[in-house]
Amino acid sequence: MTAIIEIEGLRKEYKRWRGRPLRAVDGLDLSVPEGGVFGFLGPNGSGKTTTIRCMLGLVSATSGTTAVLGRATPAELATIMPRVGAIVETPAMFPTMTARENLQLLGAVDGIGRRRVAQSLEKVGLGERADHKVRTYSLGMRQRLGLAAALLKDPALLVLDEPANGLDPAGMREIRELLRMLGREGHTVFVSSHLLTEVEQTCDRVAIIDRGKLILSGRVDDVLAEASRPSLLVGVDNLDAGAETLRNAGLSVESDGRYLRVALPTSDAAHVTKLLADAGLYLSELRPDSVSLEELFLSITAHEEVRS
Amino acid sequence: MRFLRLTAVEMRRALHRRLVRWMILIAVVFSALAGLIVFLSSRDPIKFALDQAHPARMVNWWTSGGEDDLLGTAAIFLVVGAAICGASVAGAEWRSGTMTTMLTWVPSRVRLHGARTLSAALLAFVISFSIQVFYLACSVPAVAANGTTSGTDASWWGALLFAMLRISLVTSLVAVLAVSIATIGRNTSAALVALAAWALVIERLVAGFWPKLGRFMIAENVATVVPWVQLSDVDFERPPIVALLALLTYLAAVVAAATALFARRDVATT
Repeated sequence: MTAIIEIEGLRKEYKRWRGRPLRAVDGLDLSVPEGGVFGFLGPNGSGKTTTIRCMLGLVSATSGTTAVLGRATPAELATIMPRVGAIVETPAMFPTMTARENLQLLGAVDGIGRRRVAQSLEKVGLGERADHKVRTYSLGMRQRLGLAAALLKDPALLVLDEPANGLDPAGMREIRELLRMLGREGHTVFVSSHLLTEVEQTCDRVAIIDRGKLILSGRVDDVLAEASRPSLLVGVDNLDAGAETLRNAGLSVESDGRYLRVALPTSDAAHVTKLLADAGLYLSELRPDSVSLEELFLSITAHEEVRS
Repeated sequence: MRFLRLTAVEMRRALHRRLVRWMILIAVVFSALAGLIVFLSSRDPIKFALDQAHPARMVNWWTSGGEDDLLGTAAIFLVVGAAICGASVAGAEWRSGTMTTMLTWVPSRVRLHGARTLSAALLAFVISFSIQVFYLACSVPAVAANGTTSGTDASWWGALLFAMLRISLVTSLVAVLAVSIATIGRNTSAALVALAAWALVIERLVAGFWPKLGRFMIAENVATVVPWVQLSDVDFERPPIVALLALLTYLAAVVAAATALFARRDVATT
């Protein structure tokens, strides 16, 4: 699969007046394939925004290489930026201009016309407020305006840094659907976020970084499947009796006070059902013991914390 | 072509700055007030007859040497206004975070800074010239009703136009200087403080302690270029053309420094 973003050994240190330089990114390697929505996760201060800034030439890397759309950045940015839409942190626009005027002004740099501006505003749901001054906009509306600006170029790659910041639940849902739609339309969407549920619901692939280093990367399903233990969560009214029954059948069982965790793959769920039913115990719940992205993220970053 | 489009965009962005609009409005209001004062003060025929320097005598709009004439006074305010607006145009980009937004559209920083500098120069020139025209036009009723146009021959009109163009040029140079300083300092206030400290403190100290070095000072060179005459009561000789070349050289150095710094600088905050 062709990589649309390729980062190798990226390191960025910020010099400080006093003390040692601040290392924001520490030898990051990352490959983002073309197409779909790619989630770039990490706790605050993990180096997500600095990585994006390095990719887009806003800050210079201390060492390492970055390539976007197959071309080295920042050297060839002028060639690729007409095909890259980007929001970096909170998008800043002219508060005294309307949304339409702001986009027309930006579009004029690349010769983009008014029709396209109107389409972008409609796409992010700002059509009705397009002629209101940006200073009257909520944070969520400003985020959407930033997204409209990024979409103006009809980009092959969208780089979005925390696009759901400041959005209410309905706004988040709209952005989520919009990102999915863009992914389906053939754009590659690279989205950094700390809203893990959002990412889990939106992204096809994910990379998790912490302290400037890549911790894991891959398809969301694969990452979660790999992290999940092959076990079943069993809900019964009498946990002690259930645990005893299953242990007597030679199964490994743990109880967390709410569920029994049985060390069996999902394909053996029927065996558990039969054992309990034969003992006169009836299930209230039976499901695979899957790990959510949030649980995985927290366990990884907590582990890294301990290790460091 | 793309550079010209970008320059036009930068001009529109600059004109949307609230401070720039306020400064233009203030200049228009003060020009109108000045015109009213000129008109009212020219109504008394006896006082007017005694005041040979009154601006209702059109020939006093511009006098050779540029001392105590109507246009010379305006030049001071235009230069100060250009410094404030120029510093604001560049400084506010850093404060408001629009710099990051622009760089995601125009990744070539040299091109972006070049367009911003050129737009500041062009805008300052055009605005300065337009304000001068309006400012002088506000005194026309006084001339028409109570004053005189005597002495305003073709050579005077030529000298007036040449003076207006020079003032516009100096305004333009100061605006570019302010843009460059604000780009270096990434802050409007820092740029204004630096400019004021340089012009009002450092240059005055140097010119006071070492009068012969005065010919290298920005203020002395500006004061030579605007009236286009060699300064009197100074210990040095500085023909106007040399003063203008000196200003252009200083400016080129500051613009080059600002461009080089901007091209290498990390834009690490929104």
